[in-house]
Amino acid sequence: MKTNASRPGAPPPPVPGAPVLSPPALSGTAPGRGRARYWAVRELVTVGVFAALTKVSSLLVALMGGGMNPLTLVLKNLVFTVLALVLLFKLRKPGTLLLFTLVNVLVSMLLMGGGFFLLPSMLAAGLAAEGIILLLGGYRNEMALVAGIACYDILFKAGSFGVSWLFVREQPELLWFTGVVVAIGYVGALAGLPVGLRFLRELRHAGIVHE
Amino acid sequence: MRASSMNDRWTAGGAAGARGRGLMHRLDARTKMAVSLLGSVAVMVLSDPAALGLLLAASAAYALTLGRWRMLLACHAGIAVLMCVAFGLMHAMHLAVPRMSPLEPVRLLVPFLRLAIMLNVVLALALSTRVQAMLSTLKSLRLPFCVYIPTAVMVRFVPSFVADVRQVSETLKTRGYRVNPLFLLRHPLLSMRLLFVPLVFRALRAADELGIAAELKGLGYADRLRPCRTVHLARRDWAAMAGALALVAAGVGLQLRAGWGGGGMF
Repeated sequence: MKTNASRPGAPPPPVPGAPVLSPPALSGTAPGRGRARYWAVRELVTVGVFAALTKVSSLLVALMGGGMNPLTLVLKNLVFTVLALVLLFKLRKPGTLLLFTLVNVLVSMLLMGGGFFLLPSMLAAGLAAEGIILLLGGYRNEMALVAGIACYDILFKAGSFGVSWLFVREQPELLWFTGVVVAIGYVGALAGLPVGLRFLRELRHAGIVHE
Repeated sequence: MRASSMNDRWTAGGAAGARGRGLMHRLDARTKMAVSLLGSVAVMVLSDPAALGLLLAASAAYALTLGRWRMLLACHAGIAVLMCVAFGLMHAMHLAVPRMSPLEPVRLLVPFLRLAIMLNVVLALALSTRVQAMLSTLKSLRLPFCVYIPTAVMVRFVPSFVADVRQVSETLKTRGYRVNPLFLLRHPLLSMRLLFVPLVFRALRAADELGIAAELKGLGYADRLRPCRTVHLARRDWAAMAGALALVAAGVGLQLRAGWGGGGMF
């Protein structure tokens, strides 16, 4: 019997134990089972790079601005919103914001000692924002993306405020200060929406964001 | 790169290369993560100053095994400054609005005790764990593929972006800009443009290149992630985790004796 390997132009026989490489894997399909992966590797890498960039940008703003002050708070939140907007415009796939949130929370929780209690509120904010984006026309609608990010920001800030209550509940008067901090942060986040849209125009012009 | 060139014995738990260093460097990254997670839950649940004081003492001893006592001292001095500012502001608020409940120093101390405990456990994790060890640990956690890849990329690329930030700062210096808090205050938009835009462009390029490289290398072919080498926790890791659990249990005992009122979660 003539095997595939002996035919001219046929692919070489697979090495026992080695993973079988198939072209669909390049477009996010798991091999062997014909099951399409929802996320392609390239998209997952983009989410990871943006998550890293948000952490580094926050650090950069805090270091350059001389610690935590109203200006650095505004800039930090502005940068976060701009980056989130750029990511959503680059990866127009339902679940991108939720995945981005999940990765940020996971790294904060496991590697940076971030509050375990922030996890539910952040995930709820991500889910609600995804719902709003879908309701307003999905990831193809630019205004839906902007509304989703605005909603995510306010829900996330509300969640942070709740967690800050847990932290300072023995002296609730301290909540006035955390409330001011959260409000200033939200101002920065809102300012990030028009800045992000303008930045996206530049990225489109440069051919980095195509749609 | 240095982290990625480490061999597997180094990366798995850091045991081989860390021989001769402090205890903290010999603990598995999973143990330190578990201690950090346990600490973050314990500080939220407990509110008794004695219980939190016990955890603070234990966490300070844990962090001191790093041998970076100057850095620890500087961080705790920062927390002390924050606490003094809070005391001052609260006192001013009380003077301005006399109807406000009186200032209770012990109660005001509790949030800062929480902050100090978390600082100790997080510094211990961050300063004694290499990037590659964290990546190996993430792999051993058997996270879903769509969560593992971005998380690993994030952990791997934070140091690279920090290096990029340094390069961008040096470029700005060469061009005659002095980016400092005063410059940021006077020209916030220009500062953002100078610092942030090159970083985003670099990140977008890195994302594209890395994504293509990952696909060409065949990342994502396997049905599930398999760690290259199964890493077992050593006896010292189990001892550290048992010690942490015992301390939290003692803290809960102290909290029970004091009662859950006055700000406790239950």
